[in-house]
Amino acid sequence: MFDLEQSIAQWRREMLSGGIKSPAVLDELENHLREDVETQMSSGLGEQQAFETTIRDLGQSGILKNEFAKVGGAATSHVKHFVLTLAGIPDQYVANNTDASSAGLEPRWATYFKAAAFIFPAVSLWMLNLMFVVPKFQELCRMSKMSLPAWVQTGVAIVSAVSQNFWLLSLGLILLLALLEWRAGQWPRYRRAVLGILAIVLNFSVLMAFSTMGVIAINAAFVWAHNLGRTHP
Amino acid sequence: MIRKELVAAAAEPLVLSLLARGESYGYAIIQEIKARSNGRLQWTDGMLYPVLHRMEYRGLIKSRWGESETGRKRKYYSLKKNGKEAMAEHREQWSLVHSVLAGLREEPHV
Repeated sequence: MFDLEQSIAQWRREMLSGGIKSPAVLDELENHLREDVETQMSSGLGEQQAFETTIRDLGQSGILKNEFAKVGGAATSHVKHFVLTLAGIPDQYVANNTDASSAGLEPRWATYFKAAAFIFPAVSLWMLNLMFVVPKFQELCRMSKMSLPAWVQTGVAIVSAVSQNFWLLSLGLILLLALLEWRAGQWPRYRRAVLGILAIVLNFSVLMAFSTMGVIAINAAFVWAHNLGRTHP
Repeated sequence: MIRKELVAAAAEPLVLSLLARGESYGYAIIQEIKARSNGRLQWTDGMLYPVLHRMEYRGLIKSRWGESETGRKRKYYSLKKNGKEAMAEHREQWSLVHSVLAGLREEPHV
């Protein structure tokens, strides 16, 4: 004797062992199954026949599993999603622009304008910092006679090299972008992602530099105060 | 029967256009598409669900668990703002293909 409930439970077990592990997905598919069985029965089929037709139409667990696996569970797609979200690009935008044509892409001026707007606060803050905070910071470090760890020294060297050649580097970047706009046919596809990521990296670097300077300054102040205490008891 | 590549390509614009009329759920979506195409446009029933999940993951649609008239748990889908934009883009592209096809058919052969 055919038992619908038992058959559905059996079907769920088969789906589970076939690799569809999410209870929410199984609930949704079971829901479909039950509704379809009801519809088939109301058009005259017997319970067993309706059930068999329905599970055949639903498809095999292996094929379904592969399709569900494409939904975005893969680690690489998570990373891609994360990076693009950081760069301010929604997934839907990427998916609809897999062809090489530039139709439907964000206008060029908008991308550049946004990138400039995003890096403006960080760059201007850094300029002010170079003028007013860095000299004080260096003085504090000198006075405390604190030896900085090697990685900080490397960082300081890089930052000062970048700062000294700021206009030269900016000019280089602008020339590079102009060259890409002029010669690279594929560039419009990657323009938004590249500029978005560049803006993030720049903002992040400034933030890191500020935090590191803050931590070192606090340390240096303690060392200095300690030394002061020793020399003037 | 319509070829499966075309059915697969049509799934997203069809689902988006259907959801633009109001929220719906998997089974009803499949039935509606079947009915509207006189049964000629149909995919393996189970295949719609990964499509729906993918569209949800990409932020085109959103879902909620609700109840059917008989009190059964049911997952309803509805359109998001991104989905509306994607639908407009799909429509534009499909009508372009359609107009090219129609133009070629109407033009006399040389």
